[in-house]
Amino acid sequence: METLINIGQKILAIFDGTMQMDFTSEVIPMVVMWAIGGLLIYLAIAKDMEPTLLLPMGFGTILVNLPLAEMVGVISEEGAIKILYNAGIANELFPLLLFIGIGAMIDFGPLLSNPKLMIFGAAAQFGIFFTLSMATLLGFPIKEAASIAVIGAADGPTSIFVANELGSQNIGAIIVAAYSYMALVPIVQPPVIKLLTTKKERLIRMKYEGKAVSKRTKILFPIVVTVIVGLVSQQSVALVGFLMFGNLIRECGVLDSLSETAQKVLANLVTILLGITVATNMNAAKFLKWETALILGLGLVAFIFDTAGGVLFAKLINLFLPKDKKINPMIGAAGISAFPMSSRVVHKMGLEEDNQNFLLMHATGVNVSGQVASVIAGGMILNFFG
Amino acid sequence: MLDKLIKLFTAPEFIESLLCSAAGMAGIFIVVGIIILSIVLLNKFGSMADNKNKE
Repeated sequence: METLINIGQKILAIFDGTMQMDFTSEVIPMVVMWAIGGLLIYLAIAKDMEPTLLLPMGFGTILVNLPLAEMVGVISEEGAIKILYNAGIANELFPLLLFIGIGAMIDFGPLLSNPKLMIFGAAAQFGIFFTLSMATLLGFPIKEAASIAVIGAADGPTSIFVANELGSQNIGAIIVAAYSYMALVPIVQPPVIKLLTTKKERLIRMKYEGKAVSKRTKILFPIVVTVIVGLVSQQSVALVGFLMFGNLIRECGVLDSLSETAQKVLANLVTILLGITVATNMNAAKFLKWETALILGLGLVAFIFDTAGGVLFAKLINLFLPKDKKINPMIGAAGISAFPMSSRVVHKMGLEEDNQNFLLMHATGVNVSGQVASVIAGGMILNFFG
Repeated sequence: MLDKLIKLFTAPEFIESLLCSAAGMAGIFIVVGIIILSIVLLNKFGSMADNKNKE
């Protein structure tokens, strides 16, 4: 009998921590966070929404919201996730390493053969600055507003880097918004593009003069861009430098195995660690607050106004161009950095209007310039508020 | 109500964010403009060098 009581007491002791939890202030938020984690995993698997990041993040959300996660070493200072956080997120190492992989994946050829397209990449950063003002208007402190605004960079690593550098208290919500809206580009962009363009404008055909780009140009481009950004916008140099380093590995032609490693192994490895580590910021106390809903709303505003900025700028340029040189304003929307989704959306919309209108190469050129411009925009934000 | 709106739109943080937004967009266009110029020059010198090699 005594042995049975002992076993019973030991079983109860296992659940001791859980049983001491307050139902309303601890259990309910914990269960809500599990549901959010489950939702992220569902979106990643069933809807194929940025699965490489949302899945580890969803699992991490469940992990860090287990009973007494802090006490049992998951997110305590000595816990594995906290150690990874300090080693890779707190010092911004993971986003930068990921940029090497992204740089190695990008072919800047379409941009180099038609560099004028880069101007649309700049215009499509408008959403970042519009959101900055909106977030300030909604009462967010200016540094927090700047961190939220960078969701409009449509670039996960940039959002993480800037939000972390500015000491944002809402980094979890910012990352969820950034990656979710990137996955939702095919749903968010088309209605905005249609609203801002006429059918006649969407039917504009653009000739593609695929000028050959010399290997020398492709090699010098990442070096020159790094030097320019280093001289003009110092705060962007880490982001641009790592992106361009990855691209140099790709284009130099003598480091194929390194380029392949950066594109696949390095990018995958960092993504796994980044996903599960950013979930440190997804515990109930930090995530379940009204600001999270506002941040998700502002993220959508940023994406909408990025798209609008690119499209309207293309329309503005069209006012000064001769009739046979007009630009299809839809390509302006590809200036947001969500690569390659945005260029595919624009290409698909062009084909829907006219099945002989191939906008892919123009849109890709704008899209890769958006990648560079969004990093520069992140640097600008750091210049002002960092 | 109107007073509140005026207060909201004249708050120093909002004005600062507007100024930073204007400066930020201008900054991006300047940096991108310099990059475009450098790409044009790179393409020019690249093709000149290629032509020389062919000769």
